[in-house]
Amino acid sequence: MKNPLRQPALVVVIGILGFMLAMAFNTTTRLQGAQPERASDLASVVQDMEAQRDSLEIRLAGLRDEVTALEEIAATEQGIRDSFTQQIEVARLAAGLTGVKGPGVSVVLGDGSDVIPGTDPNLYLIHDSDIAAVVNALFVGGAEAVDVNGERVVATTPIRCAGSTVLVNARRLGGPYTVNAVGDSDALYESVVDDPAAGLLFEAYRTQFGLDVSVTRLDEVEVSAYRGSFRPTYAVQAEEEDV
Amino acid sequence: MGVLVLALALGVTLGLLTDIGVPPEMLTYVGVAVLAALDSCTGGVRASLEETFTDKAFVFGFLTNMLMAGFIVFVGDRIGVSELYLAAVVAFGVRVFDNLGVVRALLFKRRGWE
Amino acid sequence: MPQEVNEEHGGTLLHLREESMRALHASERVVGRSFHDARLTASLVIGLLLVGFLLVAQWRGNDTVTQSLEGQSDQDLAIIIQEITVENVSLRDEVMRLQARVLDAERDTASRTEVLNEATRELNALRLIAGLEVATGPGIIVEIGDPDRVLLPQDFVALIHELRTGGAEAIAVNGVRLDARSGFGGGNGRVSVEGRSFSKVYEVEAIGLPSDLEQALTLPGGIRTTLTTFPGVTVEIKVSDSVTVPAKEAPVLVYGEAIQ
Repeated sequence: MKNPLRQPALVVVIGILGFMLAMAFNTTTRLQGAQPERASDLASVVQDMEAQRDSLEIRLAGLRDEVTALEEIAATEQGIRDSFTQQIEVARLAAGLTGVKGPGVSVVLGDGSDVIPGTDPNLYLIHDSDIAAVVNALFVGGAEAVDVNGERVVATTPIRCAGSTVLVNARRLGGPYTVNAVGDSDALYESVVDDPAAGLLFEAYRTQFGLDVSVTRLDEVEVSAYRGSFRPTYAVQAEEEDV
Repeated sequence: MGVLVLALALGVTLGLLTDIGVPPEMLTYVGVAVLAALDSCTGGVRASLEETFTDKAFVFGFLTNMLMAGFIVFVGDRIGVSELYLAAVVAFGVRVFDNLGVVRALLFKRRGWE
Repeated sequence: MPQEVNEEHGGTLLHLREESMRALHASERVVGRSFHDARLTASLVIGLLLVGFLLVAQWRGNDTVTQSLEGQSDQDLAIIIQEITVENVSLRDEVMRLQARVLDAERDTASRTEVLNEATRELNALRLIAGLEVATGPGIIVEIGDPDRVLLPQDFVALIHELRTGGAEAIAVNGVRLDARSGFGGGNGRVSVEGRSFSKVYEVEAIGLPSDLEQALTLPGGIRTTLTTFPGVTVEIKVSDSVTVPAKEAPVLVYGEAIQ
C-alpha cells in the first residue's frame, strides 16, 4: 500500500511552512541585532554601579578608620584626646555610624502567598509604606537603632519603592524584609502591634492576605552601622544669632 | 514520513540562506500565520494517516486558515484589542497538539508499538 | 472462534480448546499488562521527576534579586540608577576627601593643628546631619493646614520619606528637629513627635536643594496630591534660601550598646 503520507500537496505546503518559519526567524534576528534589548542593558548598568558602590563603601570604611586613628594621634599630642574622642563617639552614635546591640525586637515582613485569583495582587505584597510604618512604630516605641535588611535607618534615610523593588538608603532590598530594633523589647513589641498603620499587617492583613509577618522579642539583637556617605551640601552650621 | 521532514528542513534552509525577512510590523501576522500553517500541516499528516486526505480539502483548508488568522490579527489591530490574536493562537495551538496526539497514536499503531 | 457450534456436537473438545485459548490470551494479557504497567509507572516517574526539577529551577530563577532586576521596567531601573549614581558620587567625594586628609596627615610637614582643624570640621558636619547642631541653608517650608484634624501620623511618615528622597539634609516639624530616631505617633487628630503633640497647623522645614525637594513633593500622584484630597487639608510649599532648623540633644543608649 502506498505510504499514505506521500501526498505531494502536503510535502509542498510543509516546505512552505519551513520557509515561513525561517522568514520569521530572520526578521527577529535582524531586529535584535539592530537594537540590543535595552532592559538587560540597564540591568547590567545597575549591577555594575552596585558593585562600584559596594567597593566604595568598603574603601570609605577603611579610610574612616585610618582617619580616626590619625586624629587620635594628633589629639593625643595636643593633650585633648579624651574629650575629642568622646565628641566623635557621641556624634557617630547620633548619626548612626556605629553598630548597636542589645535587647529589642525583630520584625519580619514577607509577601503573602495564595493569591485569590481575581483580586488585586498588590494587596498580598509588602510595600515600602508598610516597612516605613513598622520603622516609624519602632521609633515611637523608643527604638534606639533600627535597620532594614542590614541597612541602618538614619536621619537622611528614605524608604521608597521603584516598581516592585524597595529602596532603602538607595540600596535595593528584596523580601522578606527583616527589621531589627534595639530598645525595650516589650515597649517595642506593643508599639508595633498597636500601631494604627503597622498593626494591621499583623492582624487583619495577615489573616486576610496570608502575609508572612511576625514580631519577635529578643534578648539580643544587632543593628548594623550606616555604611553610606554623609555629606551636607546645603546645610551649614548656623551662627548663634540665627536661632 | 522522511519525505515530509526533508521538505520541512529544505524549506527552513532555503529561508535561512536567502535571509528574507518581513517588515517588523508584520511579525505578528507571520507568527499567527505560521501557527495556522502548522495546524493545517499537522491536520494534513493526520488526515493522510487516517486515509481521509484530500488534496483539495488540504490546500483549501490551509489557505482559509491563513486568511482567517491574518484577518483576526488585522481586526484586533484596528479595534484596539491588540491581544485579539491570542484567540487565534490558543485555537490553533490546541488543534496542533490535538492533531499531534492523533498522529502519534496512528504512527505507533502502524509500527506496531503499543 | 466458531461461536455457533452447538455444545452437544462434540463440543467438549472444542470447548476445552476454547477454554485453553482463552486462558492463554488472558495470561498473555496479564503479562502484557504488568509489563505495560511497569513501563507506565516508569515513564510516569521519570516525567514527574522532570516536572519537579523544572519547577524548582523556575522557582529558584524567580527568587534571586538579580532576576528581579530583569522584571523591572526601564523607568524603574532608571530611578534605581539615578539613586545609586547620586550615592556613588557622594561616596567618591568622601573617599577623596578622606584620602587627601590621610595623605596630608602622613606627611611630616603637616602640622598637628591642621589635622585637628580638619577633624573638627568633619566633626561639625557629622553633628549637623545627626541633628546636634543648629543648621541653616536653602530649602523649603511646607505649611500644612488641617482644620478638620483628619491627618494621621502615617501621612507625616510618608511626607518625611518623600523629603528625604528629595535629598533633605535636615528636617524640622513645628520646630522639632528630626534625627535618626524620630517617629510620628499620636492619632485622633493629633500628631506627636519627640514627645510634643500638635494638631491643625503644621510647619515642616527642610534644608536641601529647593527644586529637588519641591519636586519630590509635587510629583503627579505624590504626597501633596494625596494630602490635599483629605477634607479641608491645605498644603503650601515655599522655597527659601535660608531655612533654619534647631538642634536637639544627643541621644544616649539606654538599652543598647555600641559595637566596636
